[in-house]
Amino acid sequence: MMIPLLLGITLMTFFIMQLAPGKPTDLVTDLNTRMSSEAREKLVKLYELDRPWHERYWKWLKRMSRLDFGTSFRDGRPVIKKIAESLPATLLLNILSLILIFTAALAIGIFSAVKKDSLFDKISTFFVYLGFSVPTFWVALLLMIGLGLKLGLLPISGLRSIHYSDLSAWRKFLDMSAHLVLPVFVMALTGLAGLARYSRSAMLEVIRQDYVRTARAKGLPERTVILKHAFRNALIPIVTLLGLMLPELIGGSFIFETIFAYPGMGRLGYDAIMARDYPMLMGIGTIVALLTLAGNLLADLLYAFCDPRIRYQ
Amino acid sequence: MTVKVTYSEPYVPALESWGIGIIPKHVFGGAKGNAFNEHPANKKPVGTGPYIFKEWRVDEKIVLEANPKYFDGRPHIARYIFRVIPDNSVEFLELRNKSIDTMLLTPDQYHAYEEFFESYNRYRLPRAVYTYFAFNLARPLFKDIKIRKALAHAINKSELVQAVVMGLGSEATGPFLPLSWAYNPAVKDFECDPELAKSILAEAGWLDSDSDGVLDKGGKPFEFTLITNQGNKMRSLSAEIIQQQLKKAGIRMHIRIIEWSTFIQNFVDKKDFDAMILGWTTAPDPDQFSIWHSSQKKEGQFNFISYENARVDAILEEGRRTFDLEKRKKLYQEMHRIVHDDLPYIFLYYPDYLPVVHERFEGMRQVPLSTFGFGWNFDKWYVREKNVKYPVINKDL
Repeated sequence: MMIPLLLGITLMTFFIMQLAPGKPTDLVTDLNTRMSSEAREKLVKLYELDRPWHERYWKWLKRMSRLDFGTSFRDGRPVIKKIAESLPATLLLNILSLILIFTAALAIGIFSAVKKDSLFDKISTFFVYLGFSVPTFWVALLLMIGLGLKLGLLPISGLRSIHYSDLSAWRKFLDMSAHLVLPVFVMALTGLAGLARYSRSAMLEVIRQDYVRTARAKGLPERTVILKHAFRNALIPIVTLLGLMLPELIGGSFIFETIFAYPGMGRLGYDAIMARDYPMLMGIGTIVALLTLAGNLLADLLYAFCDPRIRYQ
Repeated sequence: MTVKVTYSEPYVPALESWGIGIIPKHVFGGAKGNAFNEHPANKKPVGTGPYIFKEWRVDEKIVLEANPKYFDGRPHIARYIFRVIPDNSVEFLELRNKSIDTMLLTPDQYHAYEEFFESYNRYRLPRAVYTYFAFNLARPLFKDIKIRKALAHAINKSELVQAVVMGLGSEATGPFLPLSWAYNPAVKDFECDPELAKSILAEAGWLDSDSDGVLDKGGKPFEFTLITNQGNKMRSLSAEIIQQQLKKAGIRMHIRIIEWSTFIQNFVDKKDFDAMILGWTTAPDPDQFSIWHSSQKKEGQFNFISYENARVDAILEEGRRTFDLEKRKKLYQEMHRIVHDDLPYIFLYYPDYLPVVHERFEGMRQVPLSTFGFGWNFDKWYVREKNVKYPVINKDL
């Protein structure tokens, strides 16, 4: 099932890429008064841009089948190497913020469902919505000014300090962690609101069920009732959201990577789009598609974990 | 070693066009074509300059170290780290945090509170760039020079300089920088006079007959669309201000801001526009054959406004062949006057180059050479021992 899906995604990506006006050579040749039209044509020939798009797609596909992603038009380096350099940083950022989103959202959701209409419920709802509504780049800048500039607690941007290579292993770890705090927090802020609301309503739904009343009637302590009987059932719709959120996070990380000068794949992809760097774009498209499919698979596996009635043949 | 290049006819800008980095044989091993393009040494350049390439972390930083064998002596600053910060406001925050030593400022950052720059020195230099308003001379509306003149009188350049670059720039009268020898200081600009603009337009038959505030002729209002590219705040701001200025003269100007590739591919190359705002970067040599010569009007070439003037053609051809600087100066100064008077462009302004550097650096010398006039003697910059901020741990440097 996954192979045809992947093929379809790459075909669509390739086709849409061709629809966008402009060529990879434009960055060098556009309005460059020192570049003759012969030199431009030579460049177009070198990158085989004069061939029809389906022919080029077929060529790309044949290379892909040998796991050869080609080389970037921009600097002539292998696409797979460039992705390998930037993917870990992006994954690190995404996984950390995903963990933060889930723990915070579930905690807020459960607590405000159990203590419905309490002061905590109202305050958390207010702040969760606030976090959701304000533009993240603005929050990011405010936090940079407050925590970075005024208080000097955290570094403003980047992933490593300038003197990183001179540090001991433990210091390196601390240095990177300090750099990660702001991007992870800001990134989690957007995802938090929706998920917290979802888990609250899912929890409310479940608490009203008969089996929860039965559990309480059996005389089980409230803690066990909520965390064991109610919570596991409330998790099912949330797991579906996890599968949907993964590609969204990876797509959205380009904004955060740009603001925080973070050396990740989102920026690599953005630059590739702007430069019409076809091989790079196709490489990133394929990797993101793979990650999305992996996310869906993960969600499916988690279903089975949450709901013993679901079994895969 | 001597390199000899033979041209079939004299070409003055030849020397400038030969600027190319060293391609060391022992590194590239005679790689050709694609093997050359993809050679790993392209990412680890080896040259003869004051600094040695050390490390490049993509989208993060580039590290250079002083070259002890540099012909003019080892530079004083041992290590140069070039950090990549894509967002301009974050870059400015890093500067305020004193975690970077230098950056280029935008005009509004240059005018920020003094406390932002307590340990920094700001500099202001001319930049080899000018911004212009171009007419599509192939459009019937702008064929008549009177109409173009009226627009030139309706536009207030000093207001543009004040509002767009916050006074950190100067009004332009032609295609050369004021510090270039090709610049003609005798060229007087069209003065800003909206009433004069109106009377010129009235002479050409454009009157506000239905008194709706917009001039019309034969039932058609005086309106056109100006295009510019997305992502350049100075250009879109200029467009909005010009829109207001022309409105006072009874002209309705629409603005369309278009993503760069589409802008070039579908509008500029195809010559499908009424007017546009764009900029040119000028090279030290004043040869601008590809912009103004009448043979350069094909699709994708740079005379996209369809400018044609026999005298300018002759000057451009002559100017490339003449090595006598005095003669060249005469030619290009004449061209400056013609291009100004012909009004294919309304030359708007030259924005300034605004670097800022931490005050502990000393020894910088500025020369009137536009952008090249700053940082050219970086290898002679130094920091006094008591001011050193980042001591070099590796002593063998």
